[in-house]
Amino acid sequence: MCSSTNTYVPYSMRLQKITQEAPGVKTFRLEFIDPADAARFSFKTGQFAEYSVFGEGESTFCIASPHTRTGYVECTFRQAGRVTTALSGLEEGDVVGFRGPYGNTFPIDDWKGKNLVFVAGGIALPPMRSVIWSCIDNRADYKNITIVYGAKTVDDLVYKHELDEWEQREDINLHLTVDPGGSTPDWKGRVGFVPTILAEVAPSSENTIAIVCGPPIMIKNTMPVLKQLGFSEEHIFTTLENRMKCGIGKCGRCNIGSTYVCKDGPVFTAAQLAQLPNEF
Amino acid sequence: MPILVKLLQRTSYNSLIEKLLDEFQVYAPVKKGKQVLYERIRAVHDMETDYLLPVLSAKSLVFPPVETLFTFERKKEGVDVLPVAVENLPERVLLGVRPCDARGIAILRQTFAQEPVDAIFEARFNKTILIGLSCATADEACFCGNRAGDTTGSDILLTQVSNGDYLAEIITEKGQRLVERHADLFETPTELPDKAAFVATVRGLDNVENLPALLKAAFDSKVFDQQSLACIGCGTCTYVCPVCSCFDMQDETQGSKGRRVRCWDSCGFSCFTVHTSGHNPRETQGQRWRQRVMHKFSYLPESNHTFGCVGCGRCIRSCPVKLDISQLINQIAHV
Amino acid sequence: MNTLHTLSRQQLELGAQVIIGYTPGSNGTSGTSRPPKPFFAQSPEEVEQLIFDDTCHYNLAVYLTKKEVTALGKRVLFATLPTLRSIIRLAVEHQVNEGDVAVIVRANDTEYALLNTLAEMETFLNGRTPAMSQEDREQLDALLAMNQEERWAFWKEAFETCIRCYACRQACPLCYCATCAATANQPQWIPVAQHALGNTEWHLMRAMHLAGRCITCGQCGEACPMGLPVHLLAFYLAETVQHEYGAASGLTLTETTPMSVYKPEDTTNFIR
Repeated sequence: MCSSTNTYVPYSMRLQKITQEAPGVKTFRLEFIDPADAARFSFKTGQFAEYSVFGEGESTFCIASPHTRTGYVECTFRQAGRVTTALSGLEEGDVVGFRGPYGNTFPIDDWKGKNLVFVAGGIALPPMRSVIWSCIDNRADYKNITIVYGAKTVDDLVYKHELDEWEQREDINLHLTVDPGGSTPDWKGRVGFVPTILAEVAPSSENTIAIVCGPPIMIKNTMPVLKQLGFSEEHIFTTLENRMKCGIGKCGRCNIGSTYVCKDGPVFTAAQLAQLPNEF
Repeated sequence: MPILVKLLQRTSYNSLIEKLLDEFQVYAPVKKGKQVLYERIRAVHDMETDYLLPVLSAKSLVFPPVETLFTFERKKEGVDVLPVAVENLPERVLLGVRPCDARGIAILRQTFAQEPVDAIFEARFNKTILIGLSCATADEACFCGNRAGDTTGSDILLTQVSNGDYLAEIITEKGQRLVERHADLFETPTELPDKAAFVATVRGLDNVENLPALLKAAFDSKVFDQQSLACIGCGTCTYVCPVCSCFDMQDETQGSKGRRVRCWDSCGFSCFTVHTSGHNPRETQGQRWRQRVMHKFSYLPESNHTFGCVGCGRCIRSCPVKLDISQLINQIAHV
Repeated sequence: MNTLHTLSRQQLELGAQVIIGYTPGSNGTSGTSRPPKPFFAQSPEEVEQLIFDDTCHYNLAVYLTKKEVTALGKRVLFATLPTLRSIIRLAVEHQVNEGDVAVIVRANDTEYALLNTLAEMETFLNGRTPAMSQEDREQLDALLAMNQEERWAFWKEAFETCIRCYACRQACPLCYCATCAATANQPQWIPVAQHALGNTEWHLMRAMHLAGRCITCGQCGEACPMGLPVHLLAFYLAETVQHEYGAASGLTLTETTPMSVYKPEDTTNFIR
């Protein structure tokens, strides 16, 4: 019922499928309980939503499924605080609230005809995954697709089955890595921090868009590598996280300068980030 | 619509209030112990007339401290969610609103009326008639910048003139409709008294036109850390402010039933922006003080072409450590 | 003022990073002068703005647990008697260490003295314990004279008026928890929203957390923008603890925390 008269009322969703991705990390597939809601819902990749456990509160996650696939939405989260702990305790068939879609989008139409380089770390793959699938589902529209993804350990990699799928595909260059000390005896991927591996892969910046998402330290170390490879700030995209509550630019919590991450973001170019006050 | 000016005699104002008490829920400044607050009145004599400014602003009428967004009941098959019925909100009149408070509500509305519209706020706003009262005096904490007779935000603005009668400026259609229903009480003046003679002159902030740019330039200055050493990090200045609107959202339950509420919050609290990971973009009081200043005097003018401050001076009067925000802003602007 | 400024300047020269004192307030509402306010002097020029007289009573000990202040380094505080009691209690609770802070006190109406060590502060307090103000005494007695319904009606109205700004908590030198029980959400001990129930739980919880600790400075009640006499809740518990356990807080460095300590030889038997 994401009501048009009361913007704070969430849709009621049925928790259709739970996937344990990694220790403490789950993916939920949610379906609209009311078919009328399903019929009028749409979103674009990059957008996020507020997910409710009625009685505990809401938590903010990106919509991790691509907009090319309808009938359900997916989110991936790590158990960390009150609401994510409550979410972790739910079972298939339970009701979850969904308020969205909010925020701006990755301008993937503008990227047609270009090469794409995705750089992600750990639990930051979910927003990337939505874009990646949205692009792969229209594969012919894009040129080379390179993905550099790493996590602390092999266990911490998320979407393991999809990583296998991407690895098999001829039309995707996937480079997986784990942090030094995070590999297992049968690990066939690389070992090294994501920015290091990115430098080794050294994708060309010619006619290329870079999309980066990860913990602050990873982004901080990845930006110089991208700059060195010749990427301009207008061609580097990222998605920001900030503490959010209303998701619609009213509660005053997520703002950086006069920018609301929930309304003017969460997708920003590196050029836009450079304009923001250093407060995030 | 052009502002219509009528005369409302002192006795007619009392008669008007009595009539309003029959039609609406009426709120006015009321003496409670040592303080004056905007509260509901049941009789004309409940209304306090000897006050400069109630300790809390009028924003509670459209943006109450606690507002239910929806209720829910958890059942075996799922969760029943019931939105709040805004159509049933009662109509209200607020009397004796100071121009700064009325202007505060107008600025608040900018945030809540932006898409997606906050329907609950809009409903409260649409069902509230503001009858303002110009300030004949001001104190040293006021810094509205000569807006003691400003009409912004009021539906009708009264200014008391020398014989105790009121000049009544009818500013909005809402005000017009109310006047038409009680047309017998409002007279057309033969001679217009000079409103300015009955309205206080009040200081403003220094260098107001250049303030947004000056503050932006001072973003990395140590002055914010220095000025906020005395700040104890409570939410007083935020809660007494007519314009501050930051809020939290909380679920409350009793057994299987519950509700989600919106409630006041303050960017001055240390955990306002803290992430679950523990990372806090504003982990020092200096950064939080800077946010308050920048948001009200630099960011909001940039995006909404209005300051986020009406100069009512409440923050100065109520601050437990007597920080004088007008003094501090002037200091930064000169840095 | 000469001695005060001289003492303060000397301390800066001897290595103190900040003098936390008072400066005159700006003119108040309706012509009444506003009370002096806390002032942080970090240079000889700023020292000139410091005052310390009968009108200065804000409890500055609250800054001793504020991280932005402790980060400055060695601090010198202007201390009223309640402030000294706060420091002793903070020392007992391991929040202030020897050498962190020195104080300047009013030895008498005209003279100031510097106290460098906690032991000196304890000695100064000997025989100088302040009594409750007459206004507070009268208000507390009036409350105690009420029957339960009347008293509950009084506090019910107060808690309905409360806006949960937490000025009471922030102004209190002994409310220094990094995560206040009101802020924790796993579990959510009390409602966040500032309705009557949430506010009631807040004030009762805070009073109980202060039982046996509060040094009765009354700063919480002064800080309240709504004029609620919340200090009386903690005052009542302070008196009760003193009466039942013979303990007053913030007087000696060797005192304990009555509500947090249990000994087998305790005379109360409800715990057996």
